[in-house]
Amino acid sequence: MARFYFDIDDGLRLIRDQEGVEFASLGDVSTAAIGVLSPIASDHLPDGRQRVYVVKVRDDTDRYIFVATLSLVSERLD
Amino acid sequence: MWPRPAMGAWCVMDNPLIRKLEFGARLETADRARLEEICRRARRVEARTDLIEQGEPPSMVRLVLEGMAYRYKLLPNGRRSIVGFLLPGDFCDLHVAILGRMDHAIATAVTSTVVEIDRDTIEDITRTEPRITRAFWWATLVDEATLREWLASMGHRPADKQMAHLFCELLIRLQAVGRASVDSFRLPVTQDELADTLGISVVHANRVLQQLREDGLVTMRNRTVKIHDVGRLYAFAEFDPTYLHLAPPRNEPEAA
Repeated sequence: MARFYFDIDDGLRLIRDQEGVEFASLGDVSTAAIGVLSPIASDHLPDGRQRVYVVKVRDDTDRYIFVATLSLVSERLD
Repeated sequence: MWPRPAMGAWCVMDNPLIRKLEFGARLETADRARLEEICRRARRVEARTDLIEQGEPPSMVRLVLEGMAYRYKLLPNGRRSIVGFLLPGDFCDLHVAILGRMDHAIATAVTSTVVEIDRDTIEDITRTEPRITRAFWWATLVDEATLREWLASMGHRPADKQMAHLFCELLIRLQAVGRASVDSFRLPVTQDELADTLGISVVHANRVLQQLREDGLVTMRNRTVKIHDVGRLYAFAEFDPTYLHLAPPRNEPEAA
C-alpha cells in the first residue's frame, strides 16, 4: 500500500490534498481518480455553460503521476 | 440545546442507556435500577470485531455501553454499506430476537464495552415494565427515523452537506448521552468507513473533508471531530434535529 494525494479542481477552486488515500496499485489509483470526477460534477452542477473538472494525483514524493479531466460543455440549440 | 430531562436522585448519571432512555419516557427510580441491572454483564470487545454476522441467528440482545459500532451490509460485488452508527446507549438489535436471522452485520469501530442481554430478560421487561417498554419503543422509532433521514440525505444531498449533516447528528446524539463537548467528539472511524457510510468513494470523502476544513466548518483529525461554529455547520448541512426526538418525553397515559 502506498499513499497518493488527489488535488481536485472543480472549476471554482483547487483543493490541494494534504491527507492522501492509500492504494495497492497504480491501476486502482487511476480508476479512483477517474471515478471521483463525475460525482463531484453532479454535487455542484455549473450555472454557466461549461466547466472543467480536473484531478491530479501525486505520489508520496510529491511527483504528479496521473491526471484526469472532465469537461462539461452545454449550449442552447435554437 | 434541549433542557435535560428530569433526573431522579438515584440516577446513575454515567450510564448512557439510562441517559438516552430518559428522553423516551419518564423513568422512575425503580426503572433506572432495572436498567442498571441489565447492564451488569458487560464485556470488552476489540476494535474491528464482528459482534454478529449477516445470516447468523441472533441469540442475545446487545447494547453498546462505551465505544462505537456500526451496522453494515456486504453487497455481492464486495462493496460495504454502513447503515447505522451505534453509540453508547444504543441497542444493536433490541427486537431482532423476533427475527430468525440477521439481515446485516454489526462490527465494532473501536474497542468497546458491550452488554449482552438474554431475550428472556427483554421479554420479561416488556411484560412487566411499561415505562421501560415505552422507552424501548421510542428508541426503535428513533432508529427508524434516523434511517429515513440517512436515506433522504443519501438520495438528495450533495456529499459535502451529507458529511456535514452526519457530523451534526453525531454531535447531538453523543451530547445526549454525555459523550461529546459543545463542539467536538471522538469519531474513531477511517476515511473508508466514512465513505461507506455516505455511499461515496474514499477519494470523494477525502476531498469533502478537506473542503469542510478549508471552509472553516469542521476539522477531523486524530479521530476527533472539531466543529468550528456549530450554528454555521447546522445551516450549511440544513440540519433539523427533530428526527432524533430528543425533546423531553411527553406524559404517557398510565394504566389506572
